[in-house]
Amino acid sequence: MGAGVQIVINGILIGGIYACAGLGFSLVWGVMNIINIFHGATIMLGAYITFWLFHLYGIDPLVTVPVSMLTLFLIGYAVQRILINRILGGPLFMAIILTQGLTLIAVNLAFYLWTGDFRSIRPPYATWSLALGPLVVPFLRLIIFVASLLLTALLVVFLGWTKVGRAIRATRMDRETAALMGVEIEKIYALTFAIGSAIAAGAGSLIGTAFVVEPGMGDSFLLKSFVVCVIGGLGNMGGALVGGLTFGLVETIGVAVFGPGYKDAIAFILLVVILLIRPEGLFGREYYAR
Amino acid sequence: MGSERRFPSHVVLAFVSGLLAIAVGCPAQAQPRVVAFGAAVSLSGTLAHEGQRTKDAYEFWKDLVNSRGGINIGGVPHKIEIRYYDDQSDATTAAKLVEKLVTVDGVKLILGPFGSGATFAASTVTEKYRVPMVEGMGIMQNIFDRGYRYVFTTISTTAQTYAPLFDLLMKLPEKPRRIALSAQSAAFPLVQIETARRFIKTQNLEEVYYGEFPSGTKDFSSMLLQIKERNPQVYIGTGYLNEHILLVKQMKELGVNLPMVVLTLGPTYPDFRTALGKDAEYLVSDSHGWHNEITVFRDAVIGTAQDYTRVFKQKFGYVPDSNQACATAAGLVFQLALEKAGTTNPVKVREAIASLDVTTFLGPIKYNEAGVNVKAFRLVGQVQQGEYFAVHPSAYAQRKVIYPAPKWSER
Repeated sequence: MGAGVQIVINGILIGGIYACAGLGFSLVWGVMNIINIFHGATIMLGAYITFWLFHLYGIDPLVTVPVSMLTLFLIGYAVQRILINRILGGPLFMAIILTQGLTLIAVNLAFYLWTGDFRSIRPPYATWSLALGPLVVPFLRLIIFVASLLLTALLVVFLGWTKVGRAIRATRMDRETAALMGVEIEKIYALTFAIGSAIAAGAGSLIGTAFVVEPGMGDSFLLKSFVVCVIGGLGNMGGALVGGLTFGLVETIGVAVFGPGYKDAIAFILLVVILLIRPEGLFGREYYAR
Repeated sequence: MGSERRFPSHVVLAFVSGLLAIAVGCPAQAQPRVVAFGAAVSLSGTLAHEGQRTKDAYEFWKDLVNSRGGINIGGVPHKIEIRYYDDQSDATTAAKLVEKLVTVDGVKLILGPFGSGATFAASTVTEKYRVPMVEGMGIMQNIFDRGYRYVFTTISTTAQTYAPLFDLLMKLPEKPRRIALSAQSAAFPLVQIETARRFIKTQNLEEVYYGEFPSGTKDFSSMLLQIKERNPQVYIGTGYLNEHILLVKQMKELGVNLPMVVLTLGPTYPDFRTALGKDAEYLVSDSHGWHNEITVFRDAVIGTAQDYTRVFKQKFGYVPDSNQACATAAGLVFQLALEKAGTTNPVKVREAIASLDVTTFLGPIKYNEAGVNVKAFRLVGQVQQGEYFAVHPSAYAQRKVIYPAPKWSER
């Protein structure tokens, strides 16, 4: 019984990490209809900002989260205005190729500047755990889970209740009509991309503290983000959270039942099953997945 | 008549030609001869870190030998030149680039790439063109099980792994019986774990857990909890650094206390120990029989392991581990073979390598028909106070093994 509860706790916590990684990706895909391959590199850059601030100046990783979010917000805004704006409205693959190119530049620059050494951010609480009787809750994973909940709630409020948020949603629904209503489309897209980048960077700061920081770290989180969005669905910020938690739980329980060798198989069987039963994802709105 | 006193034009031409020949010939004679090597190493992609260090190890050998006048081949000093290509951490690319080195660049002596996969692929090319490749980074036994004659290794192969580890386990005062195993689903870790499984069978031990996990795994909690439940005394994991760093972090988070944790790869790498800090303490590993302090082996080019470590650190700013030592030794093997052969003819160099029986800073080297160094051996080491020390076999041990390791809460 205790072992079963522990497995569920572990599944929820790793699900929180997947949700955290996938949130920014979901926003950009849902609003701008761009599969942003650069998302993985953004997570990596966020992790490096935290690593260097902690390593060089001893700044607590949790305190560095706003710094990496702000930095990548600005970078994301510039990247969208200068580069991605030029190919919007073009074929879907144009954006994939462009953001893949940006990823290659960022990852190789990271290799060049910081080498491929495996780095670890180790504040005193990095491997703390909360003991609840026989159950163990790793502290940092709990923090990331809470951060995913908070970020999701913030995004829901922002998109649903603020003027800019409504403009973002309006732009996604009908770009021309939104423009006629006075929405500055290019600015809205840049803002959306910047927010997506900031969330990815924040996730990177937290993930970097729990995992290993290296230039290629974004790749696997990019793949997870994609799966999270497909499972959870687009067009609803809760989708990433639901997708992440479902993914984490199924993977963890699956590993406990079938063994770790079937980890990826379990995840992708889940993906195929959801695509067959509910192509728009568990929480998705069909309209956004077009 | 005056014209008769003039030098005949052909004499003038011959004289001028002679001067020109001397003028052109002199610098040509002053130029030292060159012996060209080639290597495809990973300078970008996931193995860029390891690839760059392999290149450093080759450069170390090249610069050291060139600073002393080069390699004496048939009485003539030859400067070493190494042409590098970046295989982008891809085995197929490594093979293509080695083919380019041989067929386009005309290089007939190949230094190995990083990793078993790339070495496996590249050795097919060197075999096809009959050019010798000496490598220190391809450890998998199956590279040498294909009847190839042109690939040689300086490092011990997977067939030689874990012998001293199980010897150590059998000699511990409280002999462990219950062993848990995990392996990353990649060629090299899977081959290695099979060696451990064979030892468990032959030594009549109990395999209480076996699990394979995919590369890029982000959560080991289910696997670790199952291992914890089975209560093993020794846990042997094979895989790569990224996954093993996370594995140890989660072991601590989840309070998985085991008397001995053996990870290959992991504790031998300084950046693994840096990344884990004091959480790396007491971790055990199995590695090629070389460490920075061994002084019993010496050669005329590099000296001892201590000399190698000191000069290497001065040059590159980091302490080399056995991987770099094995790669540098690949260059050294070529050097000794070229001196012995007295020619750069690849077939004759291959014969000279095959007949070597030498002691180097890396240890003794003698090849069997397959190109495996039959005198290579393995060491067991443990992280103690942040450093990796050899703990077995006792002839090379720097410290005594700490077993059982203290619980996480008592560290």
